[in-house]
Amino acid sequence: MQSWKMEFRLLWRSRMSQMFLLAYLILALLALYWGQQRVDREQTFHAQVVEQTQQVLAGYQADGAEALDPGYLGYYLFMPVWQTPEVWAGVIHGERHEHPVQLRIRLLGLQGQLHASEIHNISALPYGHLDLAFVWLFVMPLLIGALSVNLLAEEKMRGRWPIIAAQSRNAVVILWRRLLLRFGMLAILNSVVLLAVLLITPVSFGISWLLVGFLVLMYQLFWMVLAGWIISLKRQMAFNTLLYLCIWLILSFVIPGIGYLLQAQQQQAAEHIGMMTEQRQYMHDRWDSDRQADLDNYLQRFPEWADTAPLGEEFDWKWYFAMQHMSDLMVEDRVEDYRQQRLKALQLQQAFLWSSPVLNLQTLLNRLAGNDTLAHQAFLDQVIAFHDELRDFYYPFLFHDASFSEADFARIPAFVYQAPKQSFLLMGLMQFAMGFVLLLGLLLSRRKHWLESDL
Amino acid sequence: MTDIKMIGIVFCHELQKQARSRTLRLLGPLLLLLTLLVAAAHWQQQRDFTEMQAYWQAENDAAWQAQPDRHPHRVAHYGTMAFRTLSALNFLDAGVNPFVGNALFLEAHRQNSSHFRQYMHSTAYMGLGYLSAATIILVLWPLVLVTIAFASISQERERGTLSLLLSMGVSLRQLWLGKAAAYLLISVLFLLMIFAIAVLFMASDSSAAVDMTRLFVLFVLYLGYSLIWIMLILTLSQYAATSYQALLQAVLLWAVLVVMLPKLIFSLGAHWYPMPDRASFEAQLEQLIAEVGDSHNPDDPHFSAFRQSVLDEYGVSSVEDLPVNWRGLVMTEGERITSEVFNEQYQQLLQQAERQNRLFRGFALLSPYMLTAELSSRLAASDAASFYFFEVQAESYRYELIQQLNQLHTHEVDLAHDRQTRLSQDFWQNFEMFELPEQSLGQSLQQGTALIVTWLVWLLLLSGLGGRYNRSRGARA
Repeated sequence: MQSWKMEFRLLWRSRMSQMFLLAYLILALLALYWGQQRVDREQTFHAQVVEQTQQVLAGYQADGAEALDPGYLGYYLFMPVWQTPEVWAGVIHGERHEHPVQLRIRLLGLQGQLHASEIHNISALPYGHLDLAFVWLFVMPLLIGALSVNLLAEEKMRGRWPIIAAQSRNAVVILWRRLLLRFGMLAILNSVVLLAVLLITPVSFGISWLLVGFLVLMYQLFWMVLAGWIISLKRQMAFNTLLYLCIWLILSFVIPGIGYLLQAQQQQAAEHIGMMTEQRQYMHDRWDSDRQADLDNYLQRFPEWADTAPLGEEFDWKWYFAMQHMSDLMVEDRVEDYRQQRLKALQLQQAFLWSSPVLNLQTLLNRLAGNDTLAHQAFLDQVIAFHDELRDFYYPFLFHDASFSEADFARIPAFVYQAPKQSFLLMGLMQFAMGFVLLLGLLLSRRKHWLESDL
Repeated sequence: MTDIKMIGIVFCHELQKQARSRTLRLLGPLLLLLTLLVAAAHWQQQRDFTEMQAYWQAENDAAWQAQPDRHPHRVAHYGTMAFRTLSALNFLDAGVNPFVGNALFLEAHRQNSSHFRQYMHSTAYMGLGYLSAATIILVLWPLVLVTIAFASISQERERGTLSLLLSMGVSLRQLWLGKAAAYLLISVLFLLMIFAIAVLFMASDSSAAVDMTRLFVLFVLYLGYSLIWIMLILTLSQYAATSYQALLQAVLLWAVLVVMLPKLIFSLGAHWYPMPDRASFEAQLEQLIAEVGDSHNPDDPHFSAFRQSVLDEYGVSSVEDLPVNWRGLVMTEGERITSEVFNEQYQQLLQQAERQNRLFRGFALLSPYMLTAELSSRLAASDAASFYFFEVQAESYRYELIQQLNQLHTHEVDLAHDRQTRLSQDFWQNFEMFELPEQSLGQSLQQGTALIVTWLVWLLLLSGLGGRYNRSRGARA
């Protein structure tokens, strides 16, 4: 017990470790605060859009339901759809802001409405923003390296090691103790941060909170063990530092970068442009072709609306929206292809999670926070389903000449996002374990340095 | 001995030492290989992408030409596509390109946003930055320099050779310059190999517009950046208590300047100067446009006044008596209002982004990395401004196009048979298609004077002061 206290005092007295630990804590809290704010702003934006929609609707309501042309409403009324953030969204941004998480959808052809890009400060995009996940994933390993990779080399360099070693029968125990102490300190810091998560974000104490704590702890362990392996090589300080840094860079910069390169290599560049141009071409060609024939075609596909009156001379909304819907169906294959490609890219990424614990943890966290490709694709799929709902709402007025009444305003469908519950946790942990076993193998190859005191 | 000769001796000695060092022999080729691999892959992707864009652009233009006789407003809704072509140096520094949409659909009444990024896969997993030749040079090369140079002066001191050298008449300044020259030569070799391959790539493709000036300035920029780091590392090596301290400080400096500061600044910027999301921006836009005038509302005050002014101008009492098509005029006026409100709001958006960027540029003065990264993307024409340039050009093209069609609507279509009228396809076959003008080097560097000056100050200050002040611990010892 006495020696633990002494070690603790040693660590606590070191101005450098104090500074590093404090800087880490401040950075983590800042990242947490700003990260949550960014997602909170979404709430404000959503409220603004909902309010604007209500105002527009109130305008139509004031004019009276009888005066309303439902086709006109379908054309001009945008309904907000929002990929509602899950509780961890502000802590782990993941892929959240790569695509708009909020869209305004109307009854027109849907594919042209889905792929808008989000408003950003373009200059900031290559650098990205800070979130707590970044601090955990990229900064924490640096801190661990700074605190532990030279535990032995420094003492040796200062010539203190023989004195320290002489105090114990097995000098290696002192190293173990020091490593554990640093591990514990960092774990305490991370617990403080995790408690702050409970205060600042909508996350509440429970399974997911414990799970994130566990994952962070495991990740911490990985880097700690790596540092331990480097210590056991018994090289000089500079060598240790550079080796650790090199491994960190490969795992957190090179491997993810190469991964992206491979993913991109699998795709045909710019191919989804076809989705847009083909849909548009179809839509506009319809204006110049036989409308009744096109409508009949459509009604054959959707017989539930078949008992409708034939088109007159004048422009008819039902032909218009049927044509818009048809244009979505015309590019159905391309849309499905786009979808499959995204999911394939995700699978490819999952297959390589063993290659880097950074990539691994990030993928797991992004899934947990619902800020990944899977969630965004689910959002898009649900918007497609919502568009069907919109059609079901409008079509009776357009095809069956149902009259629009005051009560119908309240019946306009609203979108509610259902987050996919899928989890890669087991697979991710298994691959993490694979990487870990590899590391432990390295460590075992030098086991005699870890068990005996021939340091 | 003369100054130059002394520096030369130090230079040769340091080079010999580095040539024997395993670190450089291992790291150098590895990094070079990685850079070339990445550059080659990006070159291939860039060519594929440019080719595909050219294909879709041709398809789009052909489809435009092939339009049958149509009502001009039909044509305005049909619209056209504008593509943002990647600059020739994108494969070296991708800048903002992997993050932004590159296809823009231009149509009546609406200002769309750019759709579809180059690749659909997420960029979110590259937390330390997008892997490209430029990031390897800007992010990783300084670390290689740290690796080979951190001990350069401190080790001489630790081994006692520093006082020996000084007593032999070698000045600290000469030692500095000799060593710096050696590290600079290593950087030159590294950069030359990358740039030689880059030139080879570019020469192999006759269709690519090669701007050798940009390439050359980029080379100089990276070289100067290397020199700045060399001088920083030497300074740390001179003043640090031990070699290890010098290494630790250099790595710490790197981590702060390269990894943390840019993210911190932009997070702070987004916190102070938040920007709306697309949906709320468009909702607000719609509201503002409706406030000015609603062309669909027969009692709208703005359009009532507009009608009266038109009637007065032509001296008639009803729109049916006008010699021009009233609906065409309404479309023209509606488009004018939409564009005016949009441009105003878009400018506000840009201003908010500019406030964030000013913060970034302010801090960039403290960080050679941020300075150089900004200048590098400007030289490669892959910076944010080049994207805004595209959006602004496309929007002004869109506005012109739609108003031309509205003119046709006003003058060539008779109000009485408006909806049934089809105009001959000859009308739009004569329209010019969108072409993105190339940005000159001067345009790319616009408002970059402060950046360039600061960059030069960094370079000159560090190289000028290096080793002049003989107040290191070694000298005292």
